[in-house]
Amino acid sequence: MSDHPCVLLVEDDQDVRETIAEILEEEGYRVAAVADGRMALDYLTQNESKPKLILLDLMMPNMDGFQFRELQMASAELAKIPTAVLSADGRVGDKAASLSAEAFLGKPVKLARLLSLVEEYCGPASRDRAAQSE
Amino acid sequence: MARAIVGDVSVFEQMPESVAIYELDGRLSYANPATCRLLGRPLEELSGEHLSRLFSDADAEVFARAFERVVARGKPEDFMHCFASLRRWYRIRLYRCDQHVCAVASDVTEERLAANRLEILADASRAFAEAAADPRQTFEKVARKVAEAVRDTCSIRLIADNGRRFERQLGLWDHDPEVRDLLESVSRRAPTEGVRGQGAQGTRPVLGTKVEPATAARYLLGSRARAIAARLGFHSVMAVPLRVDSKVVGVVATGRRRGATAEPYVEADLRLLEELADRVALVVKQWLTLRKLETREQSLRLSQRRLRAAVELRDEFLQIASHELRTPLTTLGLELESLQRLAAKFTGGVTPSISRKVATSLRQTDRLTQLVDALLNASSIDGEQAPLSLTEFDFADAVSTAIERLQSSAVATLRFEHAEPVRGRWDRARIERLLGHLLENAVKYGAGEAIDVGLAADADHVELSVRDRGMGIAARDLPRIFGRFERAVPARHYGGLGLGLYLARRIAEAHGGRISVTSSPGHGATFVVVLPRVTVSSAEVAQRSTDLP
Repeated sequence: MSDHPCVLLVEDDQDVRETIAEILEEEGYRVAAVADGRMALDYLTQNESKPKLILLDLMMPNMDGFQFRELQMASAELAKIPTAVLSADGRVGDKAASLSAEAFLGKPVKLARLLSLVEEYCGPASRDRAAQSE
Repeated sequence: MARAIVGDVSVFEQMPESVAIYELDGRLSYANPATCRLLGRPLEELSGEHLSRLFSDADAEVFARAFERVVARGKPEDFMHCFASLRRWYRIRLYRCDQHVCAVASDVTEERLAANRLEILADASRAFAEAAADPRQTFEKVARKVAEAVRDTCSIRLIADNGRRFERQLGLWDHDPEVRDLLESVSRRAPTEGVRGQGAQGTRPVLGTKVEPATAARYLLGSRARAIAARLGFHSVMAVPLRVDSKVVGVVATGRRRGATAEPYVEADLRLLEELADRVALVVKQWLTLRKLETREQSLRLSQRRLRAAVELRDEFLQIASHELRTPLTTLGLELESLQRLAAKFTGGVTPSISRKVATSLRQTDRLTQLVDALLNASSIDGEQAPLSLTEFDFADAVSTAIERLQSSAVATLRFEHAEPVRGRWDRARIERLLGHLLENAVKYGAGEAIDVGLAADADHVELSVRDRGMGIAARDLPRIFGRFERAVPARHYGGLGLGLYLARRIAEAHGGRISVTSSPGHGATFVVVLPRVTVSSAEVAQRSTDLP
């Protein structure tokens, strides 16, 4: 388990993607980061080990968060992965509800909220880090 | 012979009236000079002539019948008669004087025309006053009245630029329906050629007899209608400007066709048309006023549509702008928070100035975030359709939480003492925003003095009050401080978007409550929010939450 990313981050803005990934990695979580829904689906189908949480942006080129979510829910296996919607839209709460997402993070994301959410689904960071170092 | 009957006839010689003396058998004995002029023959020729030979057949018949009655009855007789050959009206009085009959005739043509004109004008005024709702019908009726009064064809046209440019045909009438249809089709086909060149003439009345078809067409139908004017045989035209508030706005023109009336117009006709034009101008004025009102209404509707479109565009822009701003704010905020955590963990410790700089940067990032949120809240997009999400909670607890959140950074002390929970059903997130806006407003304008927050409740309502001791609000500003982008002080001194109180009001109203303020300059301000505690039905909530912040 230790080698497998715990979080799949789907975000088209490179700075946001790198910042979140870096912060989570500094906390000790392993993160796979991709730039759109299509790449996220590819990642999920190509990797047997599934992440414990998907952080999903909504507005993205190629395949947006809504399309991704639709395809994710169509697959029994992928539908089981908890997904948190990440959006700069003021109505992110309504959108998350319409996508039946487990949680939502409004942009700008607060660090404490991000960390507590990841901890809720991936467990305390130290455990992942400890697992990594084994 | 006359002298034998009446002695000195010199008195008759000077009279303007026509005086003639007949034998009882109808032969003329004496005619004064006025009679000679009337009959167009010298006295020598007229003497002894029988009255049947003095006039045309029709006139002679009328005269002879009256003459016979006077001879038979011996009573004087008065009658009016228009001598066809003279085209003039006379009032005639016949007296029997023993073995003679005396005839005195006065020319009453002018009187008669004046009376006729008055009758026509009164009739037309009545007709114009009963103007129909449809302007087309009104002007057709008016044109018809004018045409009937002066005979033949009438057109009423509107001209712009004080008589220089034809604008539109308002009304047209000819007693012959076929001619009317023909004229209407012509005037529809060539309207813009109307009264071009009539400009100078259009400002004063025109009377034309024995006119060319081109002239008739120009005044009556539009200059391209020359062929039609020739075909219909217009020989006389009159045109009188229509003045509204001393400006020429149109022309009422009439034309006489050979097929209908052969006589040309005379000055009296023009005077009549001028009188009629004054009345037509009143109808035109009324119509123009109505049209102006309608145009204003239309332009108002257009402005409203444009305004709505502009608001939509602005809202769309705000939505996109705030969306775009939140993305870099995410990176900035996370990096700064991360930096703050790293600094705290740094074993060697960091200098206080680094910690302070990071803290300041974070505060400013938070402020930017709040401004972006406020911008989006101000537009009608964010949460427009979102209904209130009602949950039961303790209002006092929400107030305490809001105060705690603000207290750490506030420059003033916020005092709130309320031990009893006040439970009810509200939208917690929105109530927290309402509290945030009110408390921040009190801190911002409270001049650093203590702020008192109070909470009272009865079975149905909860009442929140926030009192500051700052500069207060001038009476003239009180009505507008709950408006969007409004503030009572200049923006450069206090910053912010001027949205806090507006959003607070919207949230209070969405809950079926209200917000009010009392204040006087220099003595602070007290804001009071009253909200119902009872649960509101979902349908009502949905109704109220439309266009909610």
